[in-house]
Amino acid sequence: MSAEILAFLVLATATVAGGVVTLWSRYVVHSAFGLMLSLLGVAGFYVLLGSDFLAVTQVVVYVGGVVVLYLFGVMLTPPDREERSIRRIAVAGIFAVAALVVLLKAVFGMEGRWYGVDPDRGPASGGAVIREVGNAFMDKEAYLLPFEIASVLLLVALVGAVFIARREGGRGS
Amino acid sequence: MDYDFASYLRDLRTIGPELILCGTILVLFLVDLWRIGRNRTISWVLAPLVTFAACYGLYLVPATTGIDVDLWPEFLGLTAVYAVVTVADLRWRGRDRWVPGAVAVIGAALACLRLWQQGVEVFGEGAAAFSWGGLVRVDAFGVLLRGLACLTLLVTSWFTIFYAPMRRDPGAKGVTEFLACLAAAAAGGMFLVATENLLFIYLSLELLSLCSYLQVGMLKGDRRSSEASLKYLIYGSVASGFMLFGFSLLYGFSGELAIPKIGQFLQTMPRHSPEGVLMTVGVLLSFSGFAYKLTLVPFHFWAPDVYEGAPTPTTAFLSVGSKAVSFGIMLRFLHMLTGDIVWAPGLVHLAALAAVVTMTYGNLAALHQSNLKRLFGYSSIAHAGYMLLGVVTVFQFMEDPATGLLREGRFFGEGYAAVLFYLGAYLLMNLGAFGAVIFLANRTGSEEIEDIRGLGWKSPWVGGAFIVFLLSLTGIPPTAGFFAKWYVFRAAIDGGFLWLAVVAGINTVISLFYYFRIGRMLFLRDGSEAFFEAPRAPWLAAVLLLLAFGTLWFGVFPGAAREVAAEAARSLGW
Amino acid sequence: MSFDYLTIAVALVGGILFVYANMWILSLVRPNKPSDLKLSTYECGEEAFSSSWLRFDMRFYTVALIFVVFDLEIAFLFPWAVVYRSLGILAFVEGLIFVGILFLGLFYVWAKGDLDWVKAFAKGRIPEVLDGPPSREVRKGVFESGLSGGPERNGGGEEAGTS
Repeated sequence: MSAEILAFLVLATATVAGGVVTLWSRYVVHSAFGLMLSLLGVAGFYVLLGSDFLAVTQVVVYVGGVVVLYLFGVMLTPPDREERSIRRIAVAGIFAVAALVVLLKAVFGMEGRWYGVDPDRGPASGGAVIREVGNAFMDKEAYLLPFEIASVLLLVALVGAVFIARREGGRGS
Repeated sequence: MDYDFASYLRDLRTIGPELILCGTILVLFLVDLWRIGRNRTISWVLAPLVTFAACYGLYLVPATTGIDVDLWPEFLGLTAVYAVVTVADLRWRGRDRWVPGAVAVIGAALACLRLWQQGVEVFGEGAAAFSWGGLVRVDAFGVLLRGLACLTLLVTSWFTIFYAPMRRDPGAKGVTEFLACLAAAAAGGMFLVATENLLFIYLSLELLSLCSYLQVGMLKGDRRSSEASLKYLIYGSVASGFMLFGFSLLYGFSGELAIPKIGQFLQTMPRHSPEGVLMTVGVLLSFSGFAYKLTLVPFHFWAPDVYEGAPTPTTAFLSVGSKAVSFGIMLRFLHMLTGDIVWAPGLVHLAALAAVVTMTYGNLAALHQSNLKRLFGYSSIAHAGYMLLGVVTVFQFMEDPATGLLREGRFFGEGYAAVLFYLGAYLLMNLGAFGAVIFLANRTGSEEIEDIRGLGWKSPWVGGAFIVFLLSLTGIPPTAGFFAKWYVFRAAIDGGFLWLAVVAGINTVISLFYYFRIGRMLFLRDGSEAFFEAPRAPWLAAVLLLLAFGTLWFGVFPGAAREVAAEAARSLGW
Repeated sequence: MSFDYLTIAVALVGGILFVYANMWILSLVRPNKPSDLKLSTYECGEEAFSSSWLRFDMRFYTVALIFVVFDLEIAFLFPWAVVYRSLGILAFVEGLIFVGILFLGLFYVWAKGDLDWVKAFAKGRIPEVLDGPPSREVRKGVFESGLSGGPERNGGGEEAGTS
């Protein structure tokens, strides 16, 4: 049990530290790497929660794909070290702290009441989650429709984004 | 696992229109790809082969399973479109801009037809049917809103064919990509109002949003378009992130994804318990996501820039189709809370406040706009405020004289029906207005109000139709807009929100000024002569006249449409 | 909890430690005599004359974009691949539909030439650079037309069709 808490603390530190670097760094590239650290930490949380599929997806899609895309996007733009405005940070900070207080108060106020989940069920054994997800994807009575719609979404996103990213005056000009 | 084909086909039928739209997207790309390689031998082989394979496949399934399904005619139709268009394209090369347009329009028309059939089945039936394991809910409410989205798609695809910046050299301007995004956005919007499942709501909302961002940025080379797209994307992602956080709270506590079940859970929840607080946060965050789509005032930043920068058909789609389905999902969400005495009053007052601020801001800001599209952007914000009036009354709760406790009021359906009627009328008049903007901008090459000076005399038919749309947007009889406002105001008054109706009335007077300014400019005598001799677009004008006719028709005979709206509202179930 | 992931954690920590421990040990034993020349950026013997922040070509981004979309496709197909054999032919077909729709996207970017890295070269557009040593101007021209834009080719038939 204590190993789990230790792992959680390490991961939480990594996640928050990554987030802080992302927001605080003056170099956009450093921000992107901070984001990568943060996302890796979240993947670790998924592992701790026993959801191996989510962890793998997190690493493959976010760390391996989205952050890389960010890095390319960052390198596409000229370096622009924006000055931080103390006022804006202060306003955002006030909102963040207020939200945090509300959430923490509520979470601690709940005193361990759980809804919809069984905390004693324990983590799933290796490979079970992915089978569950796969079966849900393929089951007409579960999530087959969203699964197929996702492919249409991806198709249109791909074509549209490539079209917009393509240079001016494409074919025929 | 053994499969029950019949149940698959039955479920497929329930989402037939959306399937047709998805098929349309695929056909659009296939045609486009075919056009790239049309000089190569392989395309001569490939086009008939694809067509044949599709037809044979469609024939094979019913033949082997022995099930009679009437989904196939549409797909057969689309395949036939593919074949005809590819062959016709080879024959008449010059007509490039018509090819993708024809595919999209035919696809949208087929989807509308299928929805009509579904509507005939559903209306009068009362009970809602479920398919895909409860993911899709087929009821009159959903069918009506899907119909609005689909009609918007049909009209805006038609507009796209005539939209000048995409007209010259359509290959380079990406008409295919644009139409595909339009169709996908419409399909997303239609799924959005066809479901009650949070996961599917999010997926379809993302399909709608993502395709909207893409469409907005598709006027390449126009900085305003790119800027608008980026703004829309950034604000939209933030809003969608907040909404997703709200969903996660709702799901996390209730353990349910279906809205009605979350509603049941909410009612067992003491409001001031920690869970109650977090659920409140969840509900409010979800609503902020919808409010963003609806351009309600604290979430409206994006609207003017996006409406101005986007291609005009997109602006039309965003202001009508996207708004209709967002209202739809918001009403479904609100419905989740209706049985709840504790929750609703707070939300009512929030909504009332939002309505006042939204319409006042929209109207005041519209007063001094010089760009037509921007003006209609602000006017669209104002109209969202009017529609919110109906939403406010949805929630009317009354004190029970016997016990002194709050109980449900009797005005539920009226507010819903008023909003639905408003959405329908708004479709006619606002699409018409944007169509007129396209028509006039084609002649002047600009979208400034100053530049349409005197154009009404040059194109009297379109000018007249534009006047009808403006009258209707103001809410002057005998137009559909009048009855839309009338029903909404009456619902507000009946619901005890007299002051809200008064504010809305004052706002209507304010809106008269800027709508009148457009109309006056249109028919000023000393028109400038700086017109392009643009190619005539009689088919665009015809659609505008049709819309104007519809606006007048429902302004004279609103009864039937009102009945349909009332029945759709009833079908939500109470 | 489960110790399946302990090996991963050990590998992760070990990997990080290996790098930093080596750097630390080396810092103990190496001589440390920095000078201006040693501390300057090494650019293949050339003197660095501008910032290393250069603007990348848009095409990197396009390819990254395509990559991410198909990356996501993997995330969807992974669960499918695990279970489809136990579910029978229809699950297989459902997966095929998913892949087929996305394949259309692949065909699209392929046919439109978004996958050609240097489009001009790919289509044999600029033969003059290939014979004889190119002058600086020609090289510059090729670089610009090839890497940062220039006329794009998207299939031979299209130009014949639209022009």
